[in-house]
Amino acid sequence: MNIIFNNIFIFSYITRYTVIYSVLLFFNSNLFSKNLISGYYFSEPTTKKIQDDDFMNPGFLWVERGKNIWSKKIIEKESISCQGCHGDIKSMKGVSLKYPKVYEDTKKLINLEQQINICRNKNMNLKEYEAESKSLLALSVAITLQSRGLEQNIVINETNKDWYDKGKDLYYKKIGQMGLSCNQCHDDRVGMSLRAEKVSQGHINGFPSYLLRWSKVVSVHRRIQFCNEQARALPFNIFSDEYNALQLYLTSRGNGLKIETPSVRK
Amino acid sequence: MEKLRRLKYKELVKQGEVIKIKTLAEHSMETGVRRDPDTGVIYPRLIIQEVTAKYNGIIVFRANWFSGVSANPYLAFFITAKESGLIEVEWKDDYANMSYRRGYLTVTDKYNKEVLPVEHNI
Repeated sequence: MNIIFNNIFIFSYITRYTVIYSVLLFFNSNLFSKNLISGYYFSEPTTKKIQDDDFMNPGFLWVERGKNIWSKKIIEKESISCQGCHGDIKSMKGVSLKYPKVYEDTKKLINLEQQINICRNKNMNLKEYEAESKSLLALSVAITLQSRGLEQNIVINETNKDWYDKGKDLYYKKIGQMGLSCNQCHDDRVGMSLRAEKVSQGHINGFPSYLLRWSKVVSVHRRIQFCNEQARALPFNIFSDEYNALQLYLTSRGNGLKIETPSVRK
Repeated sequence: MEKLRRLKYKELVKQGEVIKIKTLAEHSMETGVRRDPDTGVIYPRLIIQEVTAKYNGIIVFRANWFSGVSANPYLAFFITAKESGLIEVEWKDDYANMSYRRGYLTVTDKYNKEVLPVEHNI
């Protein structure tokens, strides 16, 4: 009798522990495997609440401003506006997913904001916007918002293979006084805390996004510059070839994630 | 370009219902403490000082703000619906620059008739 009782006791012990271990393994595999997790799940509940409500989200101030610029005729007589050629802004659905892409004239990578500037310079005969200016980001946010909910799917083929390799090299290259590379934090130490924050996977599906620390909308390039400054490295310029290549690699790395522009981050 | 202001609430309500009124203002809310990193010149203070909300011409909510309020401030408050009427929200700057948003609120009683602010009994 005693032996049977002991056996049952041991069996229940083993089963309980296997259940706990399997649960732990499941969570670990979620965090450290190739599963894609958006930066939304690493932010605090109060920040999530701001992003969920379209009224409370300050990024929509930029969207409203961008829609004004889209339909505004800049020169009254010649009646030039974005709407004159492209039609309603809803027709731009899915356009932002194709960027950054190779521009045929210069054989270099350009992103969406550079494309807006090229369009202004070539077709509208107007002055280009400065990098990180409010009007440029407002247009960029308003166009990217149209493809919210769609999945990132950028295709790597012969035309942009060289740029992709260059971006991948930059991602794994150690830089700065600290000797840090991108993958050391965003691949190996995902979910751990870095001071008061959780390290995310470093996806860019929410950009251009509203950052609470600067209380304004910023582009991907400005955010990577800030990341470089914190690793005590010299950042590249905005719209430089290096950042465009890195943006291409980061976009293809997050293929399958849903666009959530304008997101709210710390 | 003109600064944006937003106002939103439930527009068709029953009498006696408590409604939430949400506002959002686009403003830099410069505190007057920050310096330019290159020249060292202090940016002058520019904040929203006062927000007032009126319901049919009567003040129902007022707030005095100081330099601790964040940029692009969001504000929400509750009122009880008694009768149909105007809802006006007004923001006042450091230089007394006013900007406002307003909207109409429709209140119905239990027979689905609109409750007007003026009674027409003779």
